[in-house]
Amino acid sequence: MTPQTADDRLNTSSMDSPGTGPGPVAATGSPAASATSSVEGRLSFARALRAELMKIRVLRSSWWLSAIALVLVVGFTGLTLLSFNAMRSMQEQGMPDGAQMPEQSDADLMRQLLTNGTGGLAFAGILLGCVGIIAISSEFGTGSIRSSANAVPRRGLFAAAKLTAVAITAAVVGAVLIIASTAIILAFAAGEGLLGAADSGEVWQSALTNWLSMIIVTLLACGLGLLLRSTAGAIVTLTMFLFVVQIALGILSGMTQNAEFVEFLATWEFGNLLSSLTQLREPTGEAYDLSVSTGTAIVGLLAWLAAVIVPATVLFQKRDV
Amino acid sequence: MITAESLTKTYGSTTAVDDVSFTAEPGRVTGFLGPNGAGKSTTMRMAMGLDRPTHGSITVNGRRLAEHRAPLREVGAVLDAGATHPGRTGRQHLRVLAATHGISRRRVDDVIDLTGMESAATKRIAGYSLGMNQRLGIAAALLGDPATLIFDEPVNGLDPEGVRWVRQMVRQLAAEGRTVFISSHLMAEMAQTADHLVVLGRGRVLADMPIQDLIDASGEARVLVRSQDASTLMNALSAQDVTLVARDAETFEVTGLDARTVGRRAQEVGAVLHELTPLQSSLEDSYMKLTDHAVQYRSGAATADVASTGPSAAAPEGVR
Repeated sequence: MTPQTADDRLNTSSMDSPGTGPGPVAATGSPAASATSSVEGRLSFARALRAELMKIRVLRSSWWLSAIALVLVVGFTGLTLLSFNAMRSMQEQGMPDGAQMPEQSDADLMRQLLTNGTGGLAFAGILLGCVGIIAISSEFGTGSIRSSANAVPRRGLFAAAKLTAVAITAAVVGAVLIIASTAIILAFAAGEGLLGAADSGEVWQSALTNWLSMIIVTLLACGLGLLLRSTAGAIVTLTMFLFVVQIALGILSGMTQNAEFVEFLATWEFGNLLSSLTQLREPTGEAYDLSVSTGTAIVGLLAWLAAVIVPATVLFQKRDV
Repeated sequence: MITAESLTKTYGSTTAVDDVSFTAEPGRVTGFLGPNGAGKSTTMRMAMGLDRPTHGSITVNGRRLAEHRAPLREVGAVLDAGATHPGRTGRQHLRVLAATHGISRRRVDDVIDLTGMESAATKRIAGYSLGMNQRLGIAAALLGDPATLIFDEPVNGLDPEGVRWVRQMVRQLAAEGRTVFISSHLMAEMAQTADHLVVLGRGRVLADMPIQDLIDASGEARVLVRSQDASTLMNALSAQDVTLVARDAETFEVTGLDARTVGRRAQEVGAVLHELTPLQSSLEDSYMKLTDHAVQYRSGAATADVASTGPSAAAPEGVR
C-alpha cells in the first residue's frame, strides 16, 4: 500500500465507522478549526478538594477500614463496660479471697469509664491512618497519579487538596467513632447511677482530644505516604511512630539507668505526646510520669506533623512521578 | 501547540533526552517516531509536567502545564493505559477528573459515548481489557475538550477495529484545528496518520519534516512482482527509468513503474501473474536509515535482514 495523501486521509476520517466510530469529538457546537475548549470549568482548590474527597469515597477500602474501626471502638467500649461491672460487683461483695477492693469515688469511676471506654480510639487511629496512607500511596502504586497530575499539575495544590481531604475524612469518621463510644458510655453510666458524677468538661475534653488525635494521626500517615510513596513502608513507619519508638525508648531507658537524653526523647516522641493529649488527668511531674500538658502536647504534635509533611511536600514538588 | 526548546533530561549518567527542540503545530498530526528507548515517552512526560527537565523547557500552548488555569482544557494525554485506580469504575475515574475543574457530568457521559465505552463505564477498571483501558485513557484526555492532545503509543494493545478507530479519531482531532502529538515506534503506523514527523534516536532529533518530504526523499514506490514468466516480463518492463531487482526465479521488484502499468504490460506479453504488490517499505527504509545509528537495543540479525531489503543494499542483479 502506498502512503495516502493528506486528502485521502481526511476522507477516511470522515467515513462512518460502525458502532464505535468517533462522532464529533468536541462537544456539540464546537467550532471546527478554532480548537478552543467548549467545555466550561477551571481548576481551583475547592474543586481539587472535591475530587480528592470523591476519590476516598468511591474506594471500598475506605469504607472497610472505617467499618472495622467502628466495630473495634464499640467492641472495646463494650468490653470495658463488662469488666467495669465485674469490678463493681467485686467492690460490693469483696474479692473471692476475701480482700477488699479500694473504694473509689463516683467521679473517679466515671473518669475511669471514659478513659478506658474510649481506649479503642487509639487503635481506630491506626486504621484511619491507613485510610490516609492509601489515599496517597495508591496513587503512586497504581499510576493514577499521572491522570491526577494531568488534571492538577500544580503539585503544591494537589498535596494541599489531598491532605485536606484526608483530614476531613478523619474528622467525619473520627466524630462518628467518638460519638458512638461516648454515647454508649454515658448511657451505661446513667444506668449505673454514675451520670450525676460525670464532669461534663471532662466528657468534652475526652471527646475533643480524641477527635484531634485521630485527625493528627491520619494527617501524619498521609504525610508519610506522600514521603515514602509506598503503602507498606508508610504503614510500618506509622506503627513505629505510634508504638515502636515508645517501646524501644523504654528498653533504652532501662539500659542507661534513665539517662537524661533518653527521658527527653521519650517525652517528645510522637506516641507519648499523643497519649498526653488524650489523658484526662494533669501530668504529676513525678519521675516516672513523662506526660505533658494538653497544650504542650498539641504544639509538639503539630511540630511532628510539620516535620513530616513539609519535607514530603517539598520532595513531591521536585520528584518525577 | 507544543514547543520544546533545548529540552534535556538526564538520569544519573544516562541522557534520555538530549537538547531536543521542535514544535508540534495546531491543525496537524505530528508523529513522534523513534526506536524503543529513544526518549519519546520521557519527552511526553516532561510536556505533561510529570518529569522535570534537567534543562531546557517544553511548553503546551505557550506555557508550562502547571501555569495554566484549566490544565484539562489545554491538554489531554494518554501516556500509559494504566494511569487509573483499578478500584474505581470508568465513570468514577472520569467524574473525579471532571470534578477538579467543575466539568459537568454531562460532559463525562459525552466522552463515554464518544469513546464507545458505555457498557464498561459502570464496571471496575480492574476488569478492563487493554483496549478498554486505552479507550478510558482517551476519554479522560478528551474530557476538557483540549486544544492539544498527546498520545503515547495509542494503538498498543488495540484490536484492528480499535486501531482504525484511533486513527480516524486522531485525524479528526487535527482536522478540528487541534494539535495532535502522537508517538510510535512503527513507521507504518505514522505513515497512515501523521502530517509531520519528528524522528528521535538516542535522545536526539534526527529529522523534523513533513511526512511528504520523507516520502519524496525515499525515492519512488516499488512493486513486488511474482510471475512464472518472470524473465519475459522483466525484459518487457525494462526501460530508461525503471530498475528491476530479481529476488528469485519467479520474483522481482520494480522501481519506477506503478502496479497498474506492470499489470497491463504482463497482459500484453501474456505473462501469468501470481502476485503484484505495491511496496510501502520505501518509507520504512528512510526511517531505518535515519535511525540506523541510533538504535539502542539492536537485535543484530533482524536489523541486518530488514536493511537488506532496502534499495541501497539490494542485490545488484537488476536487468536494465
